[in-house]
Amino acid sequence: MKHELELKLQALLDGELTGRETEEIAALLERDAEASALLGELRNTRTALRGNELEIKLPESREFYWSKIEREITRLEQAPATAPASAWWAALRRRYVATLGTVGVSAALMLTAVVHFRELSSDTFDVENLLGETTALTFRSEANKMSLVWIYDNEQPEAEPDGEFDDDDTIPQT
Amino acid sequence: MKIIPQSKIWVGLALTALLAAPSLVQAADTKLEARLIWGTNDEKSPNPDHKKVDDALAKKLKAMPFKWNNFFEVNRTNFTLVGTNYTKVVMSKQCSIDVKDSGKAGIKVKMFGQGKEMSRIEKSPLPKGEILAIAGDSKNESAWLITIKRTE
Repeated sequence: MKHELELKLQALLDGELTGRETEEIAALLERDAEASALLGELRNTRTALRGNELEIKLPESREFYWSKIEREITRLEQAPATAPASAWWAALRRRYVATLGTVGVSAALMLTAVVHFRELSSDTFDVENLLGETTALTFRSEANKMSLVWIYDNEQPEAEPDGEFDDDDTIPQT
Repeated sequence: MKIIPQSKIWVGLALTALLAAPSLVQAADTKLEARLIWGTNDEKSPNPDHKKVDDALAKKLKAMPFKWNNFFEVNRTNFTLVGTNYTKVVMSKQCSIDVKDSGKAGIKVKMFGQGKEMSRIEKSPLPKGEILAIAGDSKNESAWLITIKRTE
C-alpha cells in the first residue's frame, strides 16, 4: 500500500479531507480490503488511546510549572560552550552511533569481499615435484592462454626409440 | 539529530552484500576436458586411431616453444569436479591424473606415471578456455602432453 494512501486514511480519520477527497477514499475503501482493514486498525488505535490516556494533574499552578521549564531552557542556552568531555562524547555517540555502526558493518563486509576477490584474482601456478629424479619447468603464454608444465628426467636423457608410439608411451620417463 | 534515511541504509547494505556474496556462495561444479596428445615431427601416427588435434588447439600448440610440428590426439575425457574431492581421470594404461577444484577458481592436479605420483600442480585461476598443459619427453624424439581445459 502506498504511503500517500495511508496518510489519506489517517487524514480521513482526523476529519481533514475535503468532501470530494472523502468521497474518493470512501469509494476506494469499498474495493480495497487492505485499506479498509488499515482504517479499522487506525480507528481502534485512536479509540484505545482516547479511552486509556492517563490524566496528569500538575502539582503546582500552570504558570509556575511553565516558569520552571522556561528557566531550564534559558539555563541550557547560556551554558558554557566547553561542555564536559563525557557530555560531548554522549552527544557525538547519539548523533553518529547509527551511522558509524552502518559504516562499520559495511566496511567489514567490503573487507571480506576485497580479500576474497584478491584471493580469486591472485594467479597461482605452482608445481611440486615428488620424485627426485625429475624436474619441472613452467612456461606461461598469455597470447595462447596456455600454461605449460614440462617434466623431464634428470638422469635419463631420452628413452630408447622403438619406432612406434602407443598409449603405453604416454607416460613420463621416470 | 540528522538521521540517514532507512532506505539509503538498506541500499548500502544490499550493495555491500552483493559485493561480498561471492565469498559466501559455494562455487558451481567445474566441467573440464582432458586430452592426451602425442607431439611429433612425423606426418602420420603409427596408430590409425590417432587423429590430428583440431586446428584451434594445433595453432596454440605450435605457438608454444615446442620443437614438434604435429600433434595427435590419443585420448579425450570430459569430466566434472564435484565439491572439493579429487576426481581420477585415466589418460592411458600408465598415465592418470587426479584433479580437484582449488577453491580459487582453478584446479589442483596430481600427476601419476606408472602408478607413482610424480607431481602436484596448481593453476589458479583457470578461466574458461584457458589450457593447462603438462608434458614431457617420450620415445623417438616425441613428446606426450596432457591438456586440461575448463569447458564450463
